[in-house]
Amino acid sequence: MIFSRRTLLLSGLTAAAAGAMPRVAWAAAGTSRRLVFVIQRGAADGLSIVAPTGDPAFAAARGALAGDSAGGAKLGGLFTLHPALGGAATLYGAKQAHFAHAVATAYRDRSHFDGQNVLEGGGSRPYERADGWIGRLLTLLPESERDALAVAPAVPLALRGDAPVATYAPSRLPQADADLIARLTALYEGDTLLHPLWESAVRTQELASDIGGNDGRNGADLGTLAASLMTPVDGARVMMVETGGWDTHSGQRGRLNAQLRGLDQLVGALRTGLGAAWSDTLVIVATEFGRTVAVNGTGGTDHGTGSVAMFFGGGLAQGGQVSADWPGLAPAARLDGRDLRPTRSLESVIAAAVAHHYALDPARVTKTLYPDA
Amino acid sequence: MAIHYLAANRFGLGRRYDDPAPAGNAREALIAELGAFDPAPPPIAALAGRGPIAAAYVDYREDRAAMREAARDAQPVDEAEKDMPPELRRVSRSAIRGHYDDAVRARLAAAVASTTPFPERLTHFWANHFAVSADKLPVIGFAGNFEYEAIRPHILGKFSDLLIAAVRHPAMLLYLDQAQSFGPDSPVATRIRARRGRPGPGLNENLGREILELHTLGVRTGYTQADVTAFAKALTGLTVTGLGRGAGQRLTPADARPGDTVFIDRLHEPGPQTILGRRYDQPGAKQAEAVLRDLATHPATARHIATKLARHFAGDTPPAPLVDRLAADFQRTGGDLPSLYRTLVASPEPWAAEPAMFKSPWDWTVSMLRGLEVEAFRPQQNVSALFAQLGQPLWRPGSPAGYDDRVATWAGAAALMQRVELASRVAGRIGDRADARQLAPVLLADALTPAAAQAIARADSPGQGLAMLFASPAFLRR
Repeated sequence: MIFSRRTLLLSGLTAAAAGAMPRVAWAAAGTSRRLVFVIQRGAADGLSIVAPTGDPAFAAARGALAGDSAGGAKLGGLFTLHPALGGAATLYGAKQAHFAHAVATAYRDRSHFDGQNVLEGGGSRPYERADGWIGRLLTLLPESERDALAVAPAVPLALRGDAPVATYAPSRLPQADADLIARLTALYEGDTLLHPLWESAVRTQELASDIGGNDGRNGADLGTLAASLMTPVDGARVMMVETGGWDTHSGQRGRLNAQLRGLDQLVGALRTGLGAAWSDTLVIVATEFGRTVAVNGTGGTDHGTGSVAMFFGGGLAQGGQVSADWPGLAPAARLDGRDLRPTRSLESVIAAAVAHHYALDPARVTKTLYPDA
Repeated sequence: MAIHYLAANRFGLGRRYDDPAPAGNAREALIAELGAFDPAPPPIAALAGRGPIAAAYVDYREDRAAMREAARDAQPVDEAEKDMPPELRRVSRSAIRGHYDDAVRARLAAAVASTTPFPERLTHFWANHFAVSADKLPVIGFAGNFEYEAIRPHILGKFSDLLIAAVRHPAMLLYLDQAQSFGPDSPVATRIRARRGRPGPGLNENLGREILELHTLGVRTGYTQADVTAFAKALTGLTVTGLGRGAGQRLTPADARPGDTVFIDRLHEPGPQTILGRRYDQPGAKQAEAVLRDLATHPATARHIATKLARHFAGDTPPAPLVDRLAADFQRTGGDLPSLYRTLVASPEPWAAEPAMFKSPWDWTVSMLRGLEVEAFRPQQNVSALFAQLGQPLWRPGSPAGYDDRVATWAGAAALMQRVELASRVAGRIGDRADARQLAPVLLADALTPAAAQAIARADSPGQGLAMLFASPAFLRR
């Protein structure tokens, strides 16, 4: 079986394929749909999360980390889900999870902040856009589905745009409390020295905050909180949840395991908390870029390119599937000889999922969310 | 112009909670502090002297030597013996460490209580100019003593006396390897060479070079390698007794105690030396002293000191007129330090609002503690570790150049977050036992902006208000 460049699944999810679909009436549905964007700040290692264990080059390429998928759920012949994602495996079995592999944004360098800027802003270059893809999506949604909220001390770029966005920061956020941070952010606003320092410090702290702590219960708490903010009649319908701690340069095995346990509990708590509304909910989990194929000298991986995006919800177009135009992991197949080569744009994958979820014209969604694509 | 804020923060160490409302002439008040300065306030006067510090180091070395013996002899070792060496190491090291920690606590206590914060700041400035670094083991115990005995009593005299006191202190001699420097043709080196039939111990140029480059003339001011070598030769003979290392411990004068600085003539390089074109043919210790006195009043030294002092009080790029004025004053008076300080205070440049300096972790912590009537830390707080965490371990800059004195040295993103976290922790401990709304105008005086006052007043708790005050832009700067 030859996996290199083999298309495993490629149907409605990509923009190209969606554009080829027959035009139908894109009517707004009566039910209230919900969208949750979980950002994984720090570059999550897609090759460990959905491990291509069936790729002949996998074991050799991943070395000491190759065994991390042992005991994880098999997702077809090529992929194995990380064993810490037991809840996600159950959702996959119920066709409520979809994984899009070997995807990346238009960004090809390896800076966290720049990469996150592209992921959130939806531009083709860092700092190209002052608003974000969710902020622009809001303009396409009916008023009843436009209430947006970020579980964060300040509005993240992804949510910025013409529509007002609320923020909510639980006071148990780590270190200096979020309220003090927000107040100092305001106090330093016009200060040419302190403002940039502070912005960077806060961003770093967010990167360092982790959902994996407390045996994953921090993730569950965050999911429960997010669900509780989305269930009321006048609650939020679009939400962004911040997760950090994915920058696993060293000791990846233990750290990623804790992170994924936290993420698994976060998604599980969302589903439980949303109850019946889960069937009208789309959860997108994405990171700014992936990590190197090879393991570094400290049991970790370094900044890479292609990674995996995760979709959860009751009404997925391709629930229970992994989509990938798989490039292979052999050294010659890698980008720059080191990274998982992205074969599809993350933007197109997100746009297709969003268009399906809201029953909107995919071309219009793509044009609005990613005008520079 | 926030003259009272600048007097208290740029020149001083921050206003105390019980300072009277600022009134009168701020410049005159600063000059008056020079006359009221106490070189040995109670926390410092109570510290152990050089004797016990040297003894702690000797104990440590003996224990370590014993450990080596034990390691060599003990085959096989029983369980008790196996456990002994690490314990010995811990005990002896803690004695050295204890002197260091005591000195750090004393420095903080003196700075927080000081009613003469301007000369207090000048002491810290000079200690950093003549930096020793406690990452060298023999320096750890002596570092505080260096500041208290070599720097502090001399900041209001002539620069030459300050220089000589700093150079002669055991901490400096040990830190910059002078204690192990032999005149290549000194009687001792010659004898060792003859006995062994091969080159014996020789010259160590470290101290000589750093005096020229860092303490006096400044880097790239025209001195040559020949000047460095000749100066290093002139310095030979200067060493520290009784520490089991260094040149010719057996030549120690009978009356010397461990830790004393001594001059041993038989280690000194005989003959005249030529340095910066001048010939020095003084006998023995007088030779290096003559060189030091000439270096101390050299025009390049005047400019070097003027530039560093101006940077400390007028920003990263010190205004040329201020540097010129200070250098001229230094040369005119032959390095009279009080005259230099008076010129500094009388100058307009240090009183400009911009550019502002960013407080070092030391400055910021001291000013926070001065502002609080209640104890900010638990009694068991490890103060030495606190400054290490904040990025400025005391007397441990890691280089003889000392800590760099620029905004970018201290104004970093992580450093800012650390301060906010510490302010938050201190404020959480104090809670409503201090009222930031009442304290802000006292501490920030004429620099309290309406925006900061409003932000503090709108805090959601007294503790949050305090944290906001200590993290406010004016409080972070000086």
